[in-house]
Amino acid sequence: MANREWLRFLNQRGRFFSALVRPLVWLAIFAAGFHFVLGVSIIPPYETYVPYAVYIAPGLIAMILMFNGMLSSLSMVYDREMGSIRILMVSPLPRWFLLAAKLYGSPEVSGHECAFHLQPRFASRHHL
Amino acid sequence: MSNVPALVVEGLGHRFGARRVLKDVSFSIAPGDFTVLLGLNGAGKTTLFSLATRLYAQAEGTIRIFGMDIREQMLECLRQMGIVFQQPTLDLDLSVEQNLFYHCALHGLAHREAARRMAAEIDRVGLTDQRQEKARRLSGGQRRRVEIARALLHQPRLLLLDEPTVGLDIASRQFMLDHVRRLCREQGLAALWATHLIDEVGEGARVVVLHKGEVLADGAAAQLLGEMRAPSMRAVFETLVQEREAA
Repeated sequence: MANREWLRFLNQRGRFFSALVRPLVWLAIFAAGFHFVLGVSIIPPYETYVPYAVYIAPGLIAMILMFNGMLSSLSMVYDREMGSIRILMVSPLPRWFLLAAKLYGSPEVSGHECAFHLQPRFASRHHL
Repeated sequence: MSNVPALVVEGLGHRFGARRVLKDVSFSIAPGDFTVLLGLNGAGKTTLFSLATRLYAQAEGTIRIFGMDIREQMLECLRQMGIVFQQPTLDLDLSVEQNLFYHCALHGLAHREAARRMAAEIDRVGLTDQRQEKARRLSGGQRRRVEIARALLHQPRLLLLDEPTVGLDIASRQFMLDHVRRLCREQGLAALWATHLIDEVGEGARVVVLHKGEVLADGAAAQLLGEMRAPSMRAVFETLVQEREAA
């Protein structure tokens, strides 16, 4: 079921590109644009200024998780309306397992997406 | 071939609120039987299928799959069944192959075995060239063939088909009928085929006539024709419904 979430994430072009573009807009445009304008002054335990791009990282993660969670829930509703959820319901697997697997799929995709978007941040922190 | 009936329905009843949709439905299907569940729209065919597949919880009566009560051994019963729903259930964002692999994974088949069975079933329904196509790009008839192939991947002993030919052209309908009948003949698969199309009742088929939630007749098509001295199954069906309405 997690594989199916991945396949749907990759095959639904609109969802895939919006999932990529949405955080990249914040990172590439807003964060880069505000890099020399906005920043958080030195607050313990930090010993240097916190650049805006680092400052928005937690919010970015929250945004990725929120949108992926929302789209995953919508896809569950879509599955129910289109009938494809019946294939799950008549499979020889316990219902609790089906729910757990369904709930696992979306966070796995979200986690990888967060890791993908955070990689430039980790790289840039090493160079700071 | 085992003597245990593939499907036994006894005293099955169901309500949606105050409206009764099934009342004291009883019939059985032996392994290798091709049984047609014949009824008009709203007769209760889909409800019966939903109860047999545990999409609905049954409150009245019993359903046994190869001797196992579906309430007590639900997972084992579902393992024995292949289902083709009235409503299409393919994931349109996935390819034919991906849809079939997904089904195999749900039934616990290892990847290599799944690939082998998938190739065989796709070939049987004549869709080898379309295996990489997205389900969205297939015609209605092709999607139905994929659904039949999918229902057979885990080698079930009982096949439930709920109006599988809805929306299909004559050639596709005939293909599906011939394909399922051949499976019953050659592999001893038991099939319950729900339909409102009387011409899908073939000569050798068993028929269960369902009308407004009640079984009006249950027997071989030839036997019913003889008992009612009717020229056709259409005449048998109309006579049964008229008698029931008059009662």
